[in-house]
Amino acid sequence: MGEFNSKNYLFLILLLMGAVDLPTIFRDEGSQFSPPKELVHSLETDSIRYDLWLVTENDGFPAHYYAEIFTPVCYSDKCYPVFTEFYWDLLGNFRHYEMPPGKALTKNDHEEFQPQEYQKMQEILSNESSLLGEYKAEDLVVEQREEMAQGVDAVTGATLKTLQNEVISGAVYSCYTLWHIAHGEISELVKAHTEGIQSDKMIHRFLQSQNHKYQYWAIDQVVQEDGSINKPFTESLLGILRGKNIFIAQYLLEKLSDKEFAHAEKQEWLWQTFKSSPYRLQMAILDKMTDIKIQKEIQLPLIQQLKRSNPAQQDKLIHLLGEQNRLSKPAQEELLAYLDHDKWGDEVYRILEQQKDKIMEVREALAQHKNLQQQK
Amino acid sequence: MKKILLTLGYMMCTFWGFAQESVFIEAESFKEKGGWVIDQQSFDVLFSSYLMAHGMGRPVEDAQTTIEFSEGGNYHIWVRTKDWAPFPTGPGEFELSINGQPLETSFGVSGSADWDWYYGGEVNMKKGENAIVAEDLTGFNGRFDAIYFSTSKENLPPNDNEELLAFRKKMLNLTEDAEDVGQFDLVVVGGGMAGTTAAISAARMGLKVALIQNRPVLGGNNSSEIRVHLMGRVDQNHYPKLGRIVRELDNGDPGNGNPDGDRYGDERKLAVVQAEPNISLHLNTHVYEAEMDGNTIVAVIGRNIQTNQEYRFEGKYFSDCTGDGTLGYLAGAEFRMGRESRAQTGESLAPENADDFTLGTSNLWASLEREEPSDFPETPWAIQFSDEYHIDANKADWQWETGFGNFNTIYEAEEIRDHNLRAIFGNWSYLKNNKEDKYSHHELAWVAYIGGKRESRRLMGDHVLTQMDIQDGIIYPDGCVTATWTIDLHFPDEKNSQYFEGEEFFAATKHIKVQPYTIPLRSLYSRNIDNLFMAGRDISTTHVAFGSTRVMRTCGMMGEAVGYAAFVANKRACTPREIYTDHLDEFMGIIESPLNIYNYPSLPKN
Repeated sequence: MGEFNSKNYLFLILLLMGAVDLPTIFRDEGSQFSPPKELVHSLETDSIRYDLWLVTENDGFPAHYYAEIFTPVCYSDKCYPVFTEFYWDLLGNFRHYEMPPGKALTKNDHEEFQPQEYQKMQEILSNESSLLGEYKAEDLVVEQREEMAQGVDAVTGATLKTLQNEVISGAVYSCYTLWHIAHGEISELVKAHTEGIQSDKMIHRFLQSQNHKYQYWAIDQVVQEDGSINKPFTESLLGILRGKNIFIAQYLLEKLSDKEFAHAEKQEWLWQTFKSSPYRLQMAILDKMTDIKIQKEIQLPLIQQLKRSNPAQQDKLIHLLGEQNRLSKPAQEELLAYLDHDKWGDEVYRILEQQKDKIMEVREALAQHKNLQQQK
Repeated sequence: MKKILLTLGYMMCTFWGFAQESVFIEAESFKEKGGWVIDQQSFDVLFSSYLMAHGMGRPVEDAQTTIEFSEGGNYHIWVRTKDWAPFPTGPGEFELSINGQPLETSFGVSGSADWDWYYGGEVNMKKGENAIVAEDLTGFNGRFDAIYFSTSKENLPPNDNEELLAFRKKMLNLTEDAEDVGQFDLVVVGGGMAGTTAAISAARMGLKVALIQNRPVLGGNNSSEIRVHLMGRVDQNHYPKLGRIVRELDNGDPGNGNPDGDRYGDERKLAVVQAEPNISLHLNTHVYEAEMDGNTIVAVIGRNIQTNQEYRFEGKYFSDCTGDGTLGYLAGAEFRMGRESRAQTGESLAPENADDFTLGTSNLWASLEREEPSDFPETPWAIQFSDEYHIDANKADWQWETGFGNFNTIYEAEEIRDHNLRAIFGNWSYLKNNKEDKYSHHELAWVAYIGGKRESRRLMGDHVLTQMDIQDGIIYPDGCVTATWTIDLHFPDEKNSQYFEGEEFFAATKHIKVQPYTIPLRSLYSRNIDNLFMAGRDISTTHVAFGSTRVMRTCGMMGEAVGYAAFVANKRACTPREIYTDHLDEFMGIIESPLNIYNYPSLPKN
């Protein structure tokens, strides 16, 4: 089992009591197995020393990166340097940290972190938009001193109060240093390395993952500037439109070229997607369809949707029908029912009027409608 | 008999020419509200309150009433309602039953957000008493404004709000019948912190005061209905005796959106006001008309938000403490709304071009951790969230805010509140259904249905307070209210904007520090309405300066100052302006200490 000191026992007891929601911060040597890994980069300076590793799954596919890090974390000699392990995903997004066996984080005066402070550190490091990113190290120290000297002042306290949520009391500089390691150069190194080893298999896996950061990145790899898709990825890509993340679905839909939806089969697929989509995506799909020549297979369902839609959607449906001039016979018949509609009658008249192949009933109805209008 | 009918809030009219019988019922006049709440926030749009089923996802108890029909028979029924979240259809579904028989159609799910009359079919009404029950089906804010019965299907009431106001008045017999409440030295409209302190300070100086508030509680944004804490300091005061009434009303700091509403001290505020014999308090009364004589307000008409009874308050002086600047607007006071341009004000924090941007409105909320897990439904009609973007919080703070020029804070108050609700419920649904580990045992404890507004109209006074006044710390001779809050101008949170451009509901801010400075009396009265004071967030400032003056302890101190000013004006029979031009020493003496009005002999010196 190797070293297993009293702190580990205490933590284990807390864990068994359910008192600690453990984010895999502590790792004892017994639980460690060694997945395949390769060294990506090593660095040693006055302020930091680390080895960056790419860990692969058993099939050799890249899984994540981690670095064994040694760094001093305070100006004074009142706290110990830090030994820790940081983990990033394949695009350099920080995921979590772990403490190697026997290592600890300390605050001023060598006071060791409490269990909840390890947890808090995980939260701080996971916040990629932390205010810590906007401060220089010197500012932090000054702010702290001011705070100590004056107490928390309501007039000047707002900013400090905000910052207080981003740090651990007594370990401000540790928070700052470690946050900048988590979201700094190593993160860039990781991303660059992944881009250097990217493959079709990786892109497929990314597209099919539930990780939106992987998905965004992969979308940008496979959707060309003109909005066309690299063929082998079509299925994986379109799956995102039906996924649980509305934001990425919208992003993808906007990015895709109208030409990708030129064929009937794709349009039917898009229409099925519409039916199961949340409202906001439905509106985006209707906008997309406005620029598409609608194939006869979905013309009728589109018109039938009018009855099931709210006024905002009805307006969009009428608008997109207004862009069509080759409506099928059943579609024309269906639309005829709206010729006398209070709100859309005029627009429906125009839509039917512009059809290249008007069916007999439409020709008659239009003529009759015109006569009636003239009589009025 | 007429009065009884009025308090029931409905009227039966017979149009003999057409042999039609019709009955009009205001929803807010239902005798038993059950779990439904009265919402008057859109009174300035709808000219009426409405009933709303605010159950945070659990159907609320039925509302019920009885109505007398002088003639039995078949009547057509319409309900004025809307679908508040038509995306594509909303959750606010409810049913009406007449004499125990539900109407065939339910309401609130039309897919249209416009208030309109919806036909409910034909019903047989008994001669004499009939029972109506409104049953909420979802707990998600279904609402209705009024119910109308007519023997003729063609006899639909108007839907245009102004035409409908005339129709309401006719049907409720309100046309010329405002009840005279009396004559007052000072009529304070608005019972938030500023209005409450204004009324108290004037009353303690001996003035006869009417305090009119359009909610059932005092305190406004600091009440248990909105739950914003008091900010700004009273202890760095240039005039330390100003702010004492604020302290009396201050119930301690429970933070923003505390799930325990009692901590905001509604009862304390009410008790302090009720202890003042010179204050005539009128809760639940929304002022919506001003009677003018030239540039002088003679009286205001308020309408009870529940019974629709109208009341008339005559006054020598008036104070607009409405926040929205409602009274000033009704009286024709000059006002600004939105941001001035940098060229107009010379302020470095002003934008290049003037625009409609205002700070937003918050509907705060809080959850509590319970022993048992609980469910919350999926909310497809709400704003949708995902792992990529959601707000990982078990309660709200000030950042939950909608407005920012995307919506008008007065005329689109209902839309703003509803947008906030769609953000709250959508986000909560996401957390409950996707982050069970963290939220399975959390339950919504409270969601505000009254919006906490920050910015509306700013009524223009003889002085318009600016950023330079604040930052240069200029002490004008009439500088009376000390303010300490930073220039705190919210804007949409960057990430929220990225996902919800044009419909943001989450704010960020930058605090520009200030030294304690004073707000002059000339910012506390209207420049063109001769007897109108103002206190609170609608005083005469630029948008930038408003960013600092708007916090509630500071607003409360403005109220105190206005009460004292009204005393001087009343004593000297002068206008607010003439206090500044002719009686400033007397006014500032009172600001220094109200005891200065007494001619006590000075104590012998040793």
